[in-house]
Amino acid sequence: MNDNIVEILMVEDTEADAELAMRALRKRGFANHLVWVKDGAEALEFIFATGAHAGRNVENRPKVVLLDLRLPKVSGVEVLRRLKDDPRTRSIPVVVLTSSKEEVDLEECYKLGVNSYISKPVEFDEFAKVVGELGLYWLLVNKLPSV
Amino acid sequence: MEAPARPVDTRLPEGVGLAALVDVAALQALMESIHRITGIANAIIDVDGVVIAHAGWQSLCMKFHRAHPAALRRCIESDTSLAVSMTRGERFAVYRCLNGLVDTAAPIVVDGRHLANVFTGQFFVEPPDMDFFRHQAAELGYDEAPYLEAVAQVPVISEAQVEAITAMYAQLAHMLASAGLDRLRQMAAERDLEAANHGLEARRRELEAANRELEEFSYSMSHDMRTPLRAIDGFARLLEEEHAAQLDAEGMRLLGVVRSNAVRMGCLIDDILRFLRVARQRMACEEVDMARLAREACDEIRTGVPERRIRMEIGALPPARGDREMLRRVFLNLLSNAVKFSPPGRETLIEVGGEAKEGENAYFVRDHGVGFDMKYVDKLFRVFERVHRTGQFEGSAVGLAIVKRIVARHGGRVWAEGKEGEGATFHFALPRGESVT
Repeated sequence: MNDNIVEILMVEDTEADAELAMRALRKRGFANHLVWVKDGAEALEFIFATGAHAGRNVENRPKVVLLDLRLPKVSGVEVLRRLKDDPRTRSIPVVVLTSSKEEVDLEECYKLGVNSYISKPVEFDEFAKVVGELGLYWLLVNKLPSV
Repeated sequence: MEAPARPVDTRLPEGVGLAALVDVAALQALMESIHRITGIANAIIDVDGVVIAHAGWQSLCMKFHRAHPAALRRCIESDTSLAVSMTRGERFAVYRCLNGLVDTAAPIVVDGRHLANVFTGQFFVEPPDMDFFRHQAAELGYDEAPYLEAVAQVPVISEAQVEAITAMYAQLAHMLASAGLDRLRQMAAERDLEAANHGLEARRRELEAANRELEEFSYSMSHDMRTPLRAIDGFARLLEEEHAAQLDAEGMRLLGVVRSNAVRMGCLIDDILRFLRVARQRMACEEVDMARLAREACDEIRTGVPERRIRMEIGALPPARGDREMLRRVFLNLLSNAVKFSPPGRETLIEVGGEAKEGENAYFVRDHGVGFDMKYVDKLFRVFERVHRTGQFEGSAVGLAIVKRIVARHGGRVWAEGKEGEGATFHFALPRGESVT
């Protein structure tokens, strides 16, 4: 795991949502280099190669972080803030994928520099379509600066 | 059954004496008028010794007796003694003051409490004994000449006159007492009203807080319910897609039922959230061209149902003051209902109109569709209540509840009329020239 490239870091604490998302991505072939963490603390540990992920190569940055807001230990907003604060991780695209439609969450995330904010559709077909399009866009269409 | 009237509490509040219960300035003027007629001194002094009004006090009393400590003590003793005889319930008393003059007094009793006395006096009932006063001057250390001059100024009144004047003052005292009692009752009623208002205000705040709490709760619950719903729909779909081989037609049908119900529940949740959002939104307050808003809403509805032939007749609508987006939502919901409840086969006629009425502007949306039974008119605007069979007409059951909420936030009201088979008219009125919340 240490040197495997990671393309998608999915930060999602609801197992059902994670499974549905991963299936949708897998169907389109985007799940080959997907890492799934279940809380905000582990997300930060993974990105910054600390704690449980201490041995990881920090330069091995994901192409996109799919971030839920409702997370245990460290909230999604806090993870977003830490990622955008640090110059080493600022350029990693963060896509918030949340059940919340609250204006205040939306505003807060954009203030912190989120790259995209998406409300999870309730209907699965819609959800699968959105997740698939996300994978397509951020992994294939969007360009990132070289390391 | 009416609640028994609560007895009015006419207890005098702390520090309230006769002065608080009567018009002191008018009383003073009255006492001066009476003095001008009678030529005799008068005063209204409350039981604490405070002079409320007075006129014509003899300089003998003011400059000499009351200015001298020993003589003053005698004045106070006389006042008190006179006052005491008043507390014994006598209508009036006549008294020879210790300094040699005559006084009379009548009590002012309000609601059983002795609050003050009307005094008249500082006169002689027979020509003064100058020897007595010369002796007094010497005893008190006064200059004899000015003292005796002051004595000479004191009027001499006959017994008959004394009686008449005293009777008048007794009547005056009685009238003052009545006026005092009325004022006491009024003050008590005002206190009760203020207390009641405070109570109401506190209760209103409590209710508002409880309401807000309930809405917050509903909102976050509804939100949270979407996640398991997504799982239900999603995994049913996965079953359909990935295990179709193990399922027969019936199995697939059952899964279909699971999925469609999940979707339906999602719509219900969305409806609840939409409804609750109306209460939480901040409301703008601006001039709104209602005719233009109605036209725009009509266009929007029409684009949603291109297969329908819809004729909208929009009359002259008076402008309104409020939140444009919210009012747009009102028109959209009413028009959407009008279309929904009109048979699709033929041309649908919808009329929109309005007029300025007394203190409010009233608007309506009328259709000629299935209408409704007037006996269910009260249920129309409630959340999720239906007056037609479920499944008969598509769509959310919160549209009208949202209309009612928005109009209520503007301080207005809604009502409706309908006839089965002939159509329905939905009215809403917005107050004119008032601020909205």
